[in-house]
Amino acid sequence: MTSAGRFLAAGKVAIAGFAHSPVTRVEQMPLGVLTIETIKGAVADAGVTLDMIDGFSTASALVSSSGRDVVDGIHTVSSDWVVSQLGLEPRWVVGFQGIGQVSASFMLAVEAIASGAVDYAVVHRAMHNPSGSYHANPMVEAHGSAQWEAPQGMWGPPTYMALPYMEYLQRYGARREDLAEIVVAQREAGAAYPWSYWKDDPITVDDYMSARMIADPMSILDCDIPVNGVAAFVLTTAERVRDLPNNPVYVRGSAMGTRRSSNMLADFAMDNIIAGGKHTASKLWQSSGLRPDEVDVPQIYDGFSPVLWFWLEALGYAPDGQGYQFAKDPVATAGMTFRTGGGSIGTGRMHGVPQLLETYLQLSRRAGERQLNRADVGIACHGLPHAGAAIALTAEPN
Amino acid sequence: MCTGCQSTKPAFEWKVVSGRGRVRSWTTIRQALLPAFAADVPYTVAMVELYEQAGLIMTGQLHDIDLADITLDMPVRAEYTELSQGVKVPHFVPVTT
Repeated sequence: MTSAGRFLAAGKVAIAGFAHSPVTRVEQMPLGVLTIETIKGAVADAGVTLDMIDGFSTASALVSSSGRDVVDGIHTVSSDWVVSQLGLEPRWVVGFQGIGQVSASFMLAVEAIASGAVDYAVVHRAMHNPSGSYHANPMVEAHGSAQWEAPQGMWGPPTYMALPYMEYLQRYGARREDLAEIVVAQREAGAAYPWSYWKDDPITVDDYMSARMIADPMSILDCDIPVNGVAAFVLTTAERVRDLPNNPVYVRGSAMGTRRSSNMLADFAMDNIIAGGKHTASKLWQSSGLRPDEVDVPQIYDGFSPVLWFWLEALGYAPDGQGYQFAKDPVATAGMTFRTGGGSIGTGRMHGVPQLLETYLQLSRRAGERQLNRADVGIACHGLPHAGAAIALTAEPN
Repeated sequence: MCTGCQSTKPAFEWKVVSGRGRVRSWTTIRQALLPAFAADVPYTVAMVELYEQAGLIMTGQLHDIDLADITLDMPVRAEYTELSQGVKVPHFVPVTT
């Protein structure tokens, strides 16, 4: 008898290894080449060989809102492109379209392995930093949902995110200074993370408070810095992973959010983020059979810094309107991105990679000087709470 | 498609609305991600929920008010800006009465 919503393959799929490229503002080599090198690194780290990999998954989207042309292998790197270059004949090659890209494309591979469709899978994420302003769009006509916003001068994720951030400050009496503390902590944690653009480059509260504003109350420091970089993970079954060199980390469950609105603006109403986020959270806790207080390493997403508060409340770590206070508790938040890893704000725009990688490293006891004493259960979240995805991981299969 | 009742044959019709609503949130844009608006910064855009229906959200610039005077849930009404000949977009102004 299993509970409703429980992940039936819990503990049956494991992460065997990983690799991460350097992260840079300006690309040092074509993104596709960097991806192939990183995948080869992950395969070697996992103790397997490329010819054993029979499944590939990614979410390859360039998330810039600039409307640029995109060439696979240059600005994005799909799994199809990887396979075409490597000359492999894998059984299974997929891509995820949607939000929560890293967590969700990871779960596509987990499900393929759990079902027996694949024995060893590679999941990668390749991020490209386009030249010029990341989200600036020179459109002269607006189509689709943009027609309701662009003619009024409303455009781009940092601008949308300003709306729930402002609403949160106004409704709950939080201040930018409260988020400043957390962003400073993110950068401090990110300064100690090996694949951080902000390695050894922390900031102060004053730096945050005087940072260039994009759209009040969002400043440049509330946005993760766009980078070029690639990360890759190797997954296999719990049986096969026992023969491999690294401590395995097992997949316990997952959840996906579902946008309720076809209107971008309504998606960024704070109430909708939290209400939808609570659906995502309840699916995560049902799927994994875990409770929030059982998670040692809750790596919640922070591509825009206010999202931290929203995830905290959606996941049940703090009641509505109290996430900003909860975030200040160094003990209760010891495994979060702003204490270890640095998340996206602290390391760069690698999407959900730092959250997933730090969870993996902590649970597999590979976090080096950052290693937490208690690191048996983790979650890795990506995206917004109501339109993202989350994975629960454990150091033991049961 | 109606996302309220999931009907694939919804009887949608155009209706005149009051143009009045409350400010759900707002932001003052200081870096225009649409280059066409670069000369206009800083300008303030509000997320407004119209009184006719909960969750009926639209956006427009907020005019005729000092930033310090904007408050959550403040009442506003729509007016129109003529961007170019024949092209009008709504903006909002505070309701003072």
